[in-house]
Parts: sequence; C-alpha cells; structure tokens
Amino acid sequence: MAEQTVLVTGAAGRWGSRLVRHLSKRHGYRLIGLDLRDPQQQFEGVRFVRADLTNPQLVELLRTERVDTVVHLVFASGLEPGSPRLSSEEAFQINVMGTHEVLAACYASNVRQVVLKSSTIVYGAQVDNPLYLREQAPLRARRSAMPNLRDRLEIESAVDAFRQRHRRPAIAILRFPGILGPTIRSSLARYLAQPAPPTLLGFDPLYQIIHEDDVVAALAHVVEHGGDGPYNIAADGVLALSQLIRRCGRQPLPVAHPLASWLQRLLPGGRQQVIRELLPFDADYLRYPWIVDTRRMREELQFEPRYTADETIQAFASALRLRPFADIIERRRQAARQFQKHEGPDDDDTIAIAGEQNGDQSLPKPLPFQQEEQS
Amino acid sequence: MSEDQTLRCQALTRSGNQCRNRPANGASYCRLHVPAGRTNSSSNGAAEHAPSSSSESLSRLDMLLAALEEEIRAQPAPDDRPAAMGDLIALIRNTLDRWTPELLRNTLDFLRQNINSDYLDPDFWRGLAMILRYQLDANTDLVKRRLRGTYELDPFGLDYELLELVKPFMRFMYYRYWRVEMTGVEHVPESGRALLVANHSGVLPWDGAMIATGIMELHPSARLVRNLHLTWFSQLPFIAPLLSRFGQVQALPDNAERLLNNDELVCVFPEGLKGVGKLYQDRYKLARFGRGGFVKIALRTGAPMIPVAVVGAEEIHPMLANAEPIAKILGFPFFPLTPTWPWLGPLGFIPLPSKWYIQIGEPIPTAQYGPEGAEDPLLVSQLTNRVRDTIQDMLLKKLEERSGVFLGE
Repeated sequence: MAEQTVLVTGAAGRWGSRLVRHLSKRHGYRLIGLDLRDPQQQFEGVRFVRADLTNPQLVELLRTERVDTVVHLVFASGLEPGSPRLSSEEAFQINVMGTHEVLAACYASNVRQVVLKSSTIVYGAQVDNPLYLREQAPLRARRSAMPNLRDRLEIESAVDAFRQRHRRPAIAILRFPGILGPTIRSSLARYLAQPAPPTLLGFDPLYQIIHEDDVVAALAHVVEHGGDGPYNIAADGVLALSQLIRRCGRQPLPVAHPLASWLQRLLPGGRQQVIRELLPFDADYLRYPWIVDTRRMREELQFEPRYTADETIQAFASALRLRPFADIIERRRQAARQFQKHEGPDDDDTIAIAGEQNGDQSLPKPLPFQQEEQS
Repeated sequence: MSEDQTLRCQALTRSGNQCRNRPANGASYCRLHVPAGRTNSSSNGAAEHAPSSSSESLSRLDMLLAALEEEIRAQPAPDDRPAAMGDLIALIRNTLDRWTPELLRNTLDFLRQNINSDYLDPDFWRGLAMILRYQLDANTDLVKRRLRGTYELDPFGLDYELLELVKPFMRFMYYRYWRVEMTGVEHVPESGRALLVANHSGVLPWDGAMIATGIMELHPSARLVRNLHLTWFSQLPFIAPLLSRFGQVQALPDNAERLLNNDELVCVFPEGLKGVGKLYQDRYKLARFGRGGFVKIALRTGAPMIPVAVVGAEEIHPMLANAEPIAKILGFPFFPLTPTWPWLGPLGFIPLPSKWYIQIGEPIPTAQYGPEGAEDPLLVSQLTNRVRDTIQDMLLKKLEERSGVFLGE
C-alpha cells in the first residue's frame, strides 16, 4: 500500500500533538505537522513546519508534498488558562477564515480527504430536541450562548456550503460531546472539577461524553478509512448531569434557572468571565437534552469508541482525585525543565523558544494558536 | 376426605400437624418439604439446594417463604403469636429482591428452627435485629448509591431503581385510591412493538401513569409502558427530570419512532393538550386527534395500534373554567380552575378519588400497509378516524354502564 501523506494543522496543540503521536506509531503514514508554535515533543518521522495558515504557500506545500489528507485542528478557543486573550474578531479570523483558507487550499491541490473536529454543542439545547439528534438535524444553537459557538457554527455552515458546491475533497466533520479523560481539561472537565458545580434547580438533562483517547482514535480512524459529511461521535451510554457530577465525588449546587440565565446574560462583559468560569455552559445546556444519535458513526464509519460513558467518567473521576498530586509533580517537572534549559548547551531549539518567550521583535509575531479546549 | 389427603403434602410440620400445603407436581410433598430427607428438621435444606443463578434462587426462596408463611398461618393459634410470625415472614417476602441469597438462606433456616421457639429465646431477637440491620444497610446503600451517582440509566433516561421506589405509591393509587379496573390486557402483545392510543384527561397526566401501572401489574411479562408526554412538561422544573427517570419520553415523532423500532410499548395521547385541558362540561368528548401523526408513526414502524379508553380520569380534577389571562402571564398552555385549585393552594394538586375503568381494545394491525402507507393521506385519515371512533365507542359504552362517578357499580 502506498504511503499516505497526512498534514495535521495545529500540530503543537492538544489534539494535534495527540493525533500526531497516535499516527506516528502506525505504519503507512508520512506525517507533516503544521503550527505556529514549536511542538513540545518531537516524534520520529514527523516533519514539523512552522507556518501561518493564511500563508498562500499552504497550497504550494500541499502540492509539493502531495498531501492526501488534511486534519485541520486549529481552533482558538481563548478558554485555556494562561493563553493571551483574543478579541472575538481575532478568534474569528483564526477559526473561521482559517478554515476557509484550508478548504480553498485543499480544493486547489490534490487533497482527497479533510478531517475537522466540531462539537455537538452546535445542535443547541432546545426543549423540543428529540432524544438522539441525527446529523441532519438543524443546528439551532444560539450564537451568543457560549464563547466560540459563533465560530463553530460558522465553520459548520462553511463546510456545508463547500460540500454542496464541490465534490472533492471529502470533508468529514466529527461532532463530539463533552470530552473527559485523565489529562484533558475541556470546559466540561473544568466544570466538573469545581467543588460544587452549579446546576439548574429542577432540571437534570441526559449527557453524553467521550474519552479523550477515543477523540484521537476517531480522528485517526477517519484519516485511515475516510469519511464524508458530519458524524456524531459519542461513547455508549447516557448519564444524567447530576450523575456525572456525583461520580466525580462532587455534589451539584442547584440554582434557580431565572437567576442563572440572568447572571449569564445581564452581567457586563468583564464580570461575565467570572460566571463563565463557574458555569461554562449556557443555562439551556443544563436544562434540555442535546444528546446525539451515533448510528452513522457505527454503520458508516464503523468506528466503536473504546470506552463507554461509564468507563470514561470513571477514568476522569479517578484522575480528578489524584489531580492535586499530579499538579505538584507537573510543577516540579517544569521547574526542572526550566533549570535544564538555562544550564544546558545553547542548541537552536532553546534559542527559538527563548526568543519567542521574550517577545523577540525580529521574529514575525505569531498568532497565538491554541488548540480547542471546548468540549 | 381421603382424596383430600392425597392432595396434601405428606410431611408433618414441626408442631406435628399434617402439612396443609399442596404437593408439587407429581410429588407427594410440597415445595417446602421436598425431598423427603430434608423436611423441616433439616436446618440447611435451602442452602444445600442453592441453585446456580441468583434469580432462580430468589424465586425458589420466594416459594419456600410462601410455603412457610402458609404453614405458620395454618397452625392452631392459642395466642396471636403465629400470626405475628406470619407477618414477619410476609415482610421478608416483600423485601426479598433486595436481599443477598446467603442472608436469605440464613434467615430462612433461622426462622424454620425457631417457629416453635419462645419469644424469650435470645436467638429470636438476635435474628430480628439482624433483619432490621440488613434493612437499614440496604436503605443506606441506596442513599449512598444515589449520592455517588453509581446507578444506571437506560438510553431514554429511565432509572429502574427510582421506578422501584415509586411503585408502591403507584400501586396504592391504582388499587386503593382510584380502584382501577383494567380489562383487555391480553390485547397487549407479549413482546415486540405496539402503540397504545388513549384518550387524555384530568389536567395532570395521571392517566398515563395508571395505564403504565396497570400493564406493569397485570400483564404476564409486566411490560413497561413509555408514555409520550407533551413538550410543555419538558419545560417544567422537577417534572421534566422525573418524567424522564420514569421512562416517559417527550412526544416527538423522532422519539416515538425510535422507541417503537426498539420494540418498546409506547402509549400516545393524540388529543394532547386539548385532552388534558378539557373543560368538565366537555368530558369524554374526544378532542381532535392531532393530524394523525401517531398513525404515520405506527405505519412507518409497522406497530399495531391498540385503542385504550380511560373512564374516571376526567373527574379527578374537574376543570370548571380556564383562566386564560393567567395562563398567558405564566406561560402555561392553560390555567385550570377546579373546585380545589387554586383556592386550596397545594391541596389543589390532590386528585379526587373517582372510580376508574381502563379498557384495552383489540389491536388494529398496520403492518399490512407497509411503511409507504404513511405517505397516503387518505389511509392515514381513515385509520385516525377508526381509532378515534373505537375509543369514543368504548368510552360511551362504559359511561352508560357505570352508575356513579366515585363508587362505581
């Protein structure tokens, strides 16, 4: 079998780096990672390219490298702690215009398959949602319901419009529910990590989740076998929201829902951030179901998540219990790394990172790409 | 008399009387006393028999306990002692499914040894304490499980544990409060998909709950009915999650089709809001049956439609008037004014104890039309009218028969 050339954008980010690691262990792939940042870890046989997405040379790269599959994982969520705060216009530029650029470049070159990651949040939590939304259900999320939701909806409609006009490349867009796992800090994970996650008094919708490893496995599965159109990807089984919270050893804090939506909608911008930290979901998502049908995943993609919802929350809960210790270890490790960098030999890698950290003016200011955090 | 003797178990009870139980098929001893070597003098008879699967052992223990209870109650009672023991055993039997098999076996053996022993025997009190402690443990376990979230939901949000908890209350409402008489349970299939179509009444959806309770109680395979409820209920705090935990699903075509394709028993109230929000003067007059959406779903899934007529539910909350301005302000589809609501506050939620009759009619098969029948508007409206007329006829017939609203015949 001929080698498949796969380009992963956002390769230094959370999902990009995981996918690259996953694919680098398999045979039959020639991997190119694309990101503005340097990857934290190098993998054997993986070429990293530091470039901007809007770079017109992207087409050149795709053509000369004869890229077959593009996995576009760049998404600036602005939610990751410690990341520079982007204006919504900047984020739109990266997320939506970036996707447009990538699709256009793929169309102009010989790319056969594009893989995108999306979220089931785009369906919107509505009172008259059927249990188990199918892929063809209208995307009824309110654009302002959550940060970045507008960008997600724009990406979805861009892909939809593109697929209607062009037969090639095939675009698979994977919609994931809340992502949990031992290491990922998605918005659902942050919500559940609070001492008493707020819920809406008298409401307890069903939730679906997916394990972080299954997210990577699903992306890799589509890279390997191909896919066209939207796919809902979720672990087997549903859990009530209160059950999710209780499994993590927390107790839900019920808030009367008029108060919650009032807090979420009426507080001025700056304060809203505080509420967002507490309640990352729009109140509707704590009230109405937005669970999805995964028949297409099983029958057309023939992908089966490895972890059930039960096992996923189990894995997350045990990691959550160990998190205070894990944080200490991580801090120690970082301190050690820092120490080594100052003491160690001045290799190129060190200079590049140091330059970026000091805001070196000679380098073109990279756009602060971040991997998506939102579930 | 001699013939009667052969029908009895041959064993003697501990008190020396003839056992009054009927023998098992073809045997000369009842279930309690079989085999002959292990009559009640053997202390660990049940333990030696321990069957492989727990459900099998549970049903076996249940039988043993039933026999034991009968035996105790049958004993000549100089004082009220054996009756008290019988009650104790009845209590054990009722909570049987929550017991571990070993504990049950131990309890059983203990009881069988102590049937004739004295109340002053410390072992008796020790045993009683053990039973009570187990009860307490089982209940705290339940609470712990709820607090830790380690329980299972089915794909539609049904929580069996919670369902078990409300069952006694539902049974009370069914047997004692409304004294429901259900007929035609045999029309509900043993297994496989079917769509119950019922008239809707009584402001609050008690009718659905009673149909479900009745079928759970009377149907040989104790089928679970999935009622399709109004979208409005999904907006209400507390009610929305409760309905979902009890296996009720919002009335959306997608949901109904999914349930029927899963071979579930689904109950639909095509009158919808117009049914529950009916005025008392319009009682038992069927409202418009939607646009035949339920027929289309039945045709698409090939599920037979089973008409159900509920008589008595109209009177539980007699709605004298609909205060539309208040409903508009509160965002309710209607605001009922009944003799008790809203005048008596929360007491207005207590339904009146009318006498109920639930009739389940003969199934109307739809499989012969095929899924493409759903696209035939004429067929859909014909079937809609047929179901509606059947239910209306059943209602009128029963109304003629019944003599009083509260006491029944």
